[in-house]
Order: sequence, then C-alpha cells, then structure tokens
Amino acid sequence: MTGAIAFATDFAIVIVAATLLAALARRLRQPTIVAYILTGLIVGPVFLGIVTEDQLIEVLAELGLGFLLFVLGIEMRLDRIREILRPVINIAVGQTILQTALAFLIALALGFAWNEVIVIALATVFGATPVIVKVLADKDELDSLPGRIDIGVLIVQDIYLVIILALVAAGVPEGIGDALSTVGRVLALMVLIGVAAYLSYRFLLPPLLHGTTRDHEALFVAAVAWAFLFIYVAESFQLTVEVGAFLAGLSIAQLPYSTEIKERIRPVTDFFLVIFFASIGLQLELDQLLAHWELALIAAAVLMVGNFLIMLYLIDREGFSNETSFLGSINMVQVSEFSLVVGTLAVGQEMIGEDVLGFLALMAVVTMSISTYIILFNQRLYGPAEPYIRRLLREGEDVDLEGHSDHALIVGYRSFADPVVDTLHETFGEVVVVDRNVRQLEMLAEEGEVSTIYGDVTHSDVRDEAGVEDAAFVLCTEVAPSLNQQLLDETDDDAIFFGATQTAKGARTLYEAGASYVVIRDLLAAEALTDLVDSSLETGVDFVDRLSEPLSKLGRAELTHETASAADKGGED
Amino acid sequence: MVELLSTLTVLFVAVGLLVLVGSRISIPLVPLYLFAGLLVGPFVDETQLLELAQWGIAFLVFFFGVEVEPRGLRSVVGDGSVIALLQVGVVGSLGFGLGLLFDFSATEAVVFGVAAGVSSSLVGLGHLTPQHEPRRPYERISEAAHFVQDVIAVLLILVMSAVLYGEGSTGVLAGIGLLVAGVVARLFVFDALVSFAEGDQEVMMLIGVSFIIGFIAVAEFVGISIIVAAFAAGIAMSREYPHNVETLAQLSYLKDFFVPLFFVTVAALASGVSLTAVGYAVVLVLAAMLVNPLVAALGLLYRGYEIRTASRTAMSLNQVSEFALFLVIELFLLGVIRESLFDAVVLAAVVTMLLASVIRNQQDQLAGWIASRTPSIPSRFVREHETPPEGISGHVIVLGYGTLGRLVAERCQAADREVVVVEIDPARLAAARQAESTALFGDAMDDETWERARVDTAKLIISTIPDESISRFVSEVATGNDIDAIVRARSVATVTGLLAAGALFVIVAETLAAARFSEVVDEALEGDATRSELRRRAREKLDLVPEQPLSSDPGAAD
Repeated sequence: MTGAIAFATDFAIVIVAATLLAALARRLRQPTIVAYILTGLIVGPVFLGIVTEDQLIEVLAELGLGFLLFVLGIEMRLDRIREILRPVINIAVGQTILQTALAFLIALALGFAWNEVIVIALATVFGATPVIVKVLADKDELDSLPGRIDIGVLIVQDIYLVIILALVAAGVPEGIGDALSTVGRVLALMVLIGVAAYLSYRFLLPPLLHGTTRDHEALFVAAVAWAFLFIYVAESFQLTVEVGAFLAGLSIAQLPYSTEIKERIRPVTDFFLVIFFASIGLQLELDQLLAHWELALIAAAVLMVGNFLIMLYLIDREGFSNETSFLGSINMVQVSEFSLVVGTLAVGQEMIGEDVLGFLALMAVVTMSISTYIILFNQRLYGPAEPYIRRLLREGEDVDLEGHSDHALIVGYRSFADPVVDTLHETFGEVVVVDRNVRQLEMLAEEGEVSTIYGDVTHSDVRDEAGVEDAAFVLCTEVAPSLNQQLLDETDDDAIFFGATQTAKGARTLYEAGASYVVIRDLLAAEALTDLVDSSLETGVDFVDRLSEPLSKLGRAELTHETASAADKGGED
Repeated sequence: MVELLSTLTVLFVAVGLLVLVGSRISIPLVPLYLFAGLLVGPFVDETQLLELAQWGIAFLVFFFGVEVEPRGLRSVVGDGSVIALLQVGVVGSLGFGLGLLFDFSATEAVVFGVAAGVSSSLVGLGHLTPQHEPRRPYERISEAAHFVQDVIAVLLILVMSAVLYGEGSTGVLAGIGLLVAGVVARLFVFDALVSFAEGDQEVMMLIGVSFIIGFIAVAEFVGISIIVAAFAAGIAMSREYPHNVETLAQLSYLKDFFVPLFFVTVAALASGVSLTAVGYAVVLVLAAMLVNPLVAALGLLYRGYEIRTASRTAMSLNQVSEFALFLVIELFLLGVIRESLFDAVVLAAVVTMLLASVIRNQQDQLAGWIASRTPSIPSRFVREHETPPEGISGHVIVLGYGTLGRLVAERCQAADREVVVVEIDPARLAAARQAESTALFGDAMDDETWERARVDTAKLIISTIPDESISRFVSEVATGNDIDAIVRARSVATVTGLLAAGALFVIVAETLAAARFSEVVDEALEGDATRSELRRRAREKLDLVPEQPLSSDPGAAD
C-alpha cells in the first residue's frame, strides 16, 4: 500500500546515491568511505540540497557507528595477536604519543586556536581500520606479519579511541581538575562495565546463548539485543553509544561463535555506516569544507610522511626485519574516518566549529584515497626504497607465526568420517574440523586429536582461519553444491579434495572441476548394504556371522550417536 | 538519548529475552516477535517505528520473490497448487461470508477471508532450510501449497491496492508490468550490474537494497502496494549466480534486523484488545486451525493420498499468514478497517503460529493417531493388477524406493530373487514401476498393505525408511510371520531396541557408509595412480544414483 506509511524517501535517496558512487569508487579502486562522504556532500546542502538530516538518518547513523564498534569489540580475539602482543602494545603506545605530538605541532604551526589544536591532535592519530583491513584482505596480506602488527596496533588504538570518544562526549572541561575527574570517571565506569562484560562472558552468556547456537537467526537477534542493552546502560552513565557497543562486543569476543555473530552483523553495520558517512557530508557546507583547504593539504602531506617515519622507527625498535618495518608503517599513513567521528562529536559539544570539521574531512578524504593506492602497491614500493631503509634501520628478525598449513581439513563433521580421522592424523599430522554444531566440536576436541573451529565456512574469515588454501587434504561433508564448488576453487591444485553430493549430476560437476572423489553417502551405505544382502541370500549361517562386524561398529558409533541423529537429516527416506 | 533509539533498545531487549527463552523450547521466532510487541506495546510509541517496520515488510516479501526460482517452477503443476487453491477458495470464501455476516465492509470481509484461508510459509515451512531437499511427499506438497498461496496473496494485495487507491485496472496493469520488469531485470539487468560492481560484496549488497528501493519508488509513483514492488525486486535477483549467494546471504542478515521490527511494531499497535476483537480472533483461529487443515486433508484424500501424508500436510497449513499482517497494518493505518478486526488478526496470528509449532513437534504421533482411527480409503495410486501373483514365495519385500531401496532391489533381482517394492510416495512408485519391479502403493503401518505384499510367504523384508516407528512395526510384522527383517534407524540409540523387537540387522546409513568410506580414503592416500583409478570407478558408478533430486510433483505420478 502506498500512502499509509511514507516510505522513507530521504533515506532512500541517500542509499541509491551511495550505491552509484560506491560502485564508481570501486572501479577507481577507491575506498567506499570516500564515496559515502561524497554522497552526503552531493545530495546534501553542499551541492544538490535534496536531502536534509532527519531523525531517522541521525539515529541510523549513530547505530552504524555503534555497530562498527560492536564488531571491533568482537574482533578483539587476543589469540590472533598473542605472539606479538608485547611489541604491538609498545608500538601502539609509542605511536599514539608521538603522532599526537606531531599533529599538535602541525596544528599549532598552521595557526589554529588552542581548543582546535587539541581536538585535531586527538582526532588524527587513528589509523583507518576499514581501509587497511579491506585492502589487505583483498591482497591476502592480513595474515602476514606486517598485517598482523597493523591489526594489533589498530585494536589497541580502538581502546584508546573509545576513551577519547567518551571524553569528548563529556564536553568541554571547565579546568584541569574537571578534565581529570572526567577522565577518572570515564575510566572507572568503563572498567565497571568491562568487568560486568567479562563476568557475563564467563558465567552468563554461555548458558543463555546455548539454545540459540543451532538457530542462527536467534543468535543474531540475541547478540543485537545484548549490544542494545549495553548501549542503554552506557548512555545512562553518560558514556557514549559507542563505548557501550564496544564493551558488549568485548564480552562476546572470546565465545566460540563470535565469528558467526560478527559475520551476521557486518552487513547491518556496513549498511548503517553508509548512512553515518553520508550524514557527515550532509552536515557540511561547501564553504566550511574548503575553508582551510590549503592547510588541509599541507597538514595531510606532513602527517603522512611523519606518521610513516614514526611507525618505521617504532616497529624497527622492536626488532623486526626491515621489510616488515617498511610494510607495517606504509600501510598506516592515513588519517582515518575516526577523526571525523571525534570531530563530529566535538562539533556537537561546541569545542570546534564546522570549518575545522571540514578541515578534518578534507584531510581524511585525501589521505585515505592516496593511501589506498600506497597499500595496493606496498610491496612494489619496497624495492626502490630498500637501500635507504637499510641505512636507516637496524637489521632485525621476524617472529614465526602460527597458522595451519599442509593439514587435513574437514568441513562439516558427519559421523561417517569417524574412522578416517585417525588415518588423516597419521598422514598429515594435523586435522582441523570446521562445523557449526558446538556440541559436536566439543566432543571432538575432547577426543584430543583434532583442532576445531566454530563457524560458517561460507564466510571468508572462517576459511582464512581454517587455512583452506594451505590444506593438503580437504573433505567437505556438506552437500550444498555452491559450497563444494567454492571450497574446491580455493583448495590448492595439488591437494586432495573430497566433496559430497546427493545426485549424480552434482557429482559429475565436481569431478569435472577437479575433485579427487565425491562422497555420495547413500551410495556408500547402499554398497555396504547390498554386500550384506548378497550374503544373506546365499547362506543364512554366513549372514549372521558377517553381521557381527558391522553390528560391533554400531556399538562404537555410540560415542557420536547424538551427531548421527542430527547428521541423517540430510539423507534419504 | 534520542527517543527513537531508546524505543529500539527496549524493543530489541524484549525480543532478545523472549528469543532466549523460546529457543530452548524450539518455538519459531515470528510468534515470539509478535508476543514481544504485545508485551511492550503499551510502553512505547510505536509510530516512530513505522518507517523501519516497512523495511521489514519489504525485505520479507523480497525474499519470497527470490524463492520463485528454486521453489516456484516445480510447484506450479500438481497437487500442491490444487490444495492451495482449494484452501483459499473454500475457507477464504467462508471467511468472507462470515465477515459480511459480522457486518464488515467488503474490504474488511476480504481481509477476514485472507486471514482465515492463507497460511504462513514463514512458520509452516520454517524448518525447511534452503539446502534441505523436501523428501517426503507431505513436505513437497506442503512447500508447493505454501508457495502458491504466497503468490495468490501477492496478487490479491495488488488488486486490492489498485482498487483502494482508485487506480483500478491501470493499477493492476502497472502491477503486472512491475512483475514483468522483475523478470526482465533478472534475465538481463542483473548480470550487467554485477559486472559493474566488479563483484565487490559491499557494493552488491547496496545494489540489492537499491533494487528494492527502486522498485518501491516506481510502485509508489504508480499507486500500488510496495509488496508487489518488493516481490518483483526479489524476482529480479533470484537467479542462481556465483555472486548471488553471498549477496543474498548478506541481504538476509539485513532482513534479520528489520523483520523483528516489523512484527513487533504490528503487535505493538494492537494495544487494548476488546471483547469483540477476541471474538473475531476465536473465529479466525478455528478457521485456520480446524477448517483449513480439514479442507486440505479432504482434498488430498480425494486426490488419492493416504491418511498419514494427508494429515501431515494439513498440519503444516494451519496458521494465519504474515501476508494477512501486511494487509491489516496498511489498511488499519489508512483507516479502512476497524480496530477490533486489526487486533483480532494480530491475536489470531500469535495464537495460531504458536500452536502450530507445538503441533509440528508432535506431528508424527498425531498423524499416527489419526491414521489408526480412520478406515483405509482406497487410493487411485493402487493398481489392482499389480499385486504380486498368488503363488509367489521366497520374495524380498523392499520398503522405500530411494537410492538405498533401489540399489538393494536391483541387487536382489540380479541374484534372481523376486522383489516386491512398497512405496508411499507416488513419484518413487512411478520410478519403481518404470524399472519393472512389482510395486505397491501402501502405508507401511497398515496391515492390509502387508497382506497385499504377501508377507506370509516372503523370505526377507528390507525397510529403507529411517523412521523408528515404522522400523519397529516392520520388525514386529517380521517376527509375527517368522521371517527376517533388516530395518533402518536414524540414530544408533534405537538400534538395540529394534534388534530386541526382532530385527535381524539395523541399517544406520552413516555407520554403513563409514566403513566403506574408510576404504575409499585409504585408497586415495596411497598415491596418484590409485587415486585416478578410484575416480574412474566412482564416476562409472554414478549411473546408479538419481540424476536430480527426486522432486517431481507427486501429482504427476500417473
């Protein structure tokens, strides 16, 4: 029906415009964030003026940011960076201090007022997580050592960001005493909520969420509700939406199904983030944006070079190799969109004017665009730069990273794979099982022979973790054709791939695509059965004897009986 | 805090709590959302949520449209659509008539009819995941019936909106035009967009949403319901394409966010429930949960199915549909229907959806109970001249003609043993007859079936149906006739019980496959040469397996 509820037109216009610009941005290899800000600029007061920010857009924008921090909280999987945790913390702390100082000096030199200088210094220190993560993921460098260092630093920065946001949201301090007490209050409250988050993670969440792990929609809704709860609590304590969401994410981070939750919230987050960045553009006027454009360009240039040198020095100091130091630093040269987040908040608190926000926006847009190309070509830049780097830095050595390689991978566990696990263990050393049944994984982990990963293997994160590309043997027991195809595509050509299907057509497709063998469970069962039937029809006595072996196997299968009942659901009648 | 944000918070927390409780007792999510809305309704201002709720409708209907490709094309012919039309026709008209009796306006009476006659595919089919191929006859018929009812609902809404907004036939034509545009977009435009986006997931998701928005914008401009638009947008994106899978997955997660909002908002709007509303609701519940299934069951019996399939199918078609909710929220806000009717439909939806899930958890027992209380009805699938010859003896009775059953039957025949196949699924029955086996249509739990199969002179029964109650029954039949039986079970837990009931052996497909599989893996790991040999042999054996999933419509059996 049409007129009853006006379909949110302003909102719709923003989305469609954002889609067009984002597609364009992708073709030009630009980060989509730039496209979204441009969207806001174009449809908003700066150019076309057809959209103004209404309550709906405002709320969705805030939700976008909240969910982003929720996701970031969930990503605090310490095991990812555990090996390099100490160096990462050192680097992050050093970088924060040094970059803040650099930004402070630049802003001062460019002639901004004191309050503006402070905000600029605080805002520009953050690396652009979405840009870095996206480009590195596309290049498959997320798991490399420089990639992990960068991610580690970004994670530590996120904690710092959350504190800064809370401080800025508290408003202009009346004096040093007031500022300190605000800092103290914020930290205390954060610790309080953090403790509550940890306690829930340990005691409350696992039993609560246990029933939902089978039903993924329920898990999603429960996770969103959890985030909203923390948001509400944080707001009541006058910490921001973002802080609440971040802590909610933290409390979920160490749970086995956190990756699943993260994957499901991601599209919602991406969607609302579009609104957020567009709303930044919507808030600006052209004259504000261009108010300090020369200054913005100068500052951008100086900051990019300065940040690079700072990171280079810090990473090198931790003893990593020259190449790692170079790559790790060159990925982090941009001013991130978080500067705009801090800036927006500061404008709201009347700490700075919109012209400074425009200055920050211009810097962010320029540095993010340029740095996207820099990250894309980071390896190639190392070549010519290498001799200079060598002279600057000490020679260091890299840490060996954990990861699965040359292992046997089982995607989706069905009990017909039981007898095979031992064989695989002997041949390949390591067996990794990916499944979405928590109890199944627990049982397997207890038997001790396999490493388990909870997750949906259609998600690239999970495939990375499972090391699909590096596996020597891949067994997919799930029958979905698209899944088998996807795994087969990613598996190394030299590896052995076993797929599964229910139909002849599906099997033929997989064989043609290069599968070593396709499991048709009912066919295997039928072959075994018909052998038994053959014996039965020949001599009654033999049949009873022949039965004793399969019957005893039925006894052994007692261990996984629960999973067999779940597993047979996909089979025939 | 902005009020909208705090409202959202309260809603989601309420929903979250109910979901946590409900998931432990396996209640589907939709009635939980409705219930949450009823609970928090008095405390929040739900009108702020209307815009967001509309997105919920849009996404839901969008996904119905997406399903057209996988589900629709095989469902259109056959018994499923007959049952669907029967239900909507008979019970819908009944509802319409009752509505007029209650002094409703024509529009209100139509709404009443829709609420009574159309069933919810969200709840009715909720347990079937996209990968799960419906295997049993009742699952296939049920899926087909739900799909056809959804399409009928969309068309009804199209006509109603055109009429109500005064666009009349132009509106209807425009709506059809929009649907056609959806099909065209699916064939041509979508590919172009995918290449334009260079497969980037974020952009693809935005394109998906923009598609929906675009179609809705056109619908608003022309003056027809957004539901038609969202459905058309779904059709546009329904093609099975490499990139489609991930995009649709992402869009479905977006849907998961907005859908609860829709249901909660609808229920929140149904605040003070009057006695009249309860009265109407009771009528609707009776219509949806008693009359509707009865009509379906009778229809299926008439078409020749046996009582078990008929009752199971009927039990999946006994809820008030979400389409009724789409209708009432729009019409209520327009002021075209009265508040008591709106409240009644919401109430009826909550009650029927909750009860339906309880029933579904018990459906095996219920179907069995019903079957035992009703007399055998001669079926059109039974062919008298195909009963095994009088003097037959030493034959093997094979129950079920799936992959397992077929291979076993063939092996027995190759060993020169006579085989009698018993099947309850008309499609497989046809396959058995084509393979020149003696095939009987019959319910395994019915003594009469076994008489027809001449169990007294058989040598061996092999049941390939993974249903424990059937396996137990077969074991007892075998013991009673002093012959051997090999039966099947889903889980190892029931094996001892079945052996005690007299079975000679119990098939647990996973375990049987395991032994074989172990040999296969050993071979594969030996070396490249053995691996290629393994591949070659495996490809040869493919002739023994069904080409496609056996999902031809049961109604085509003759």
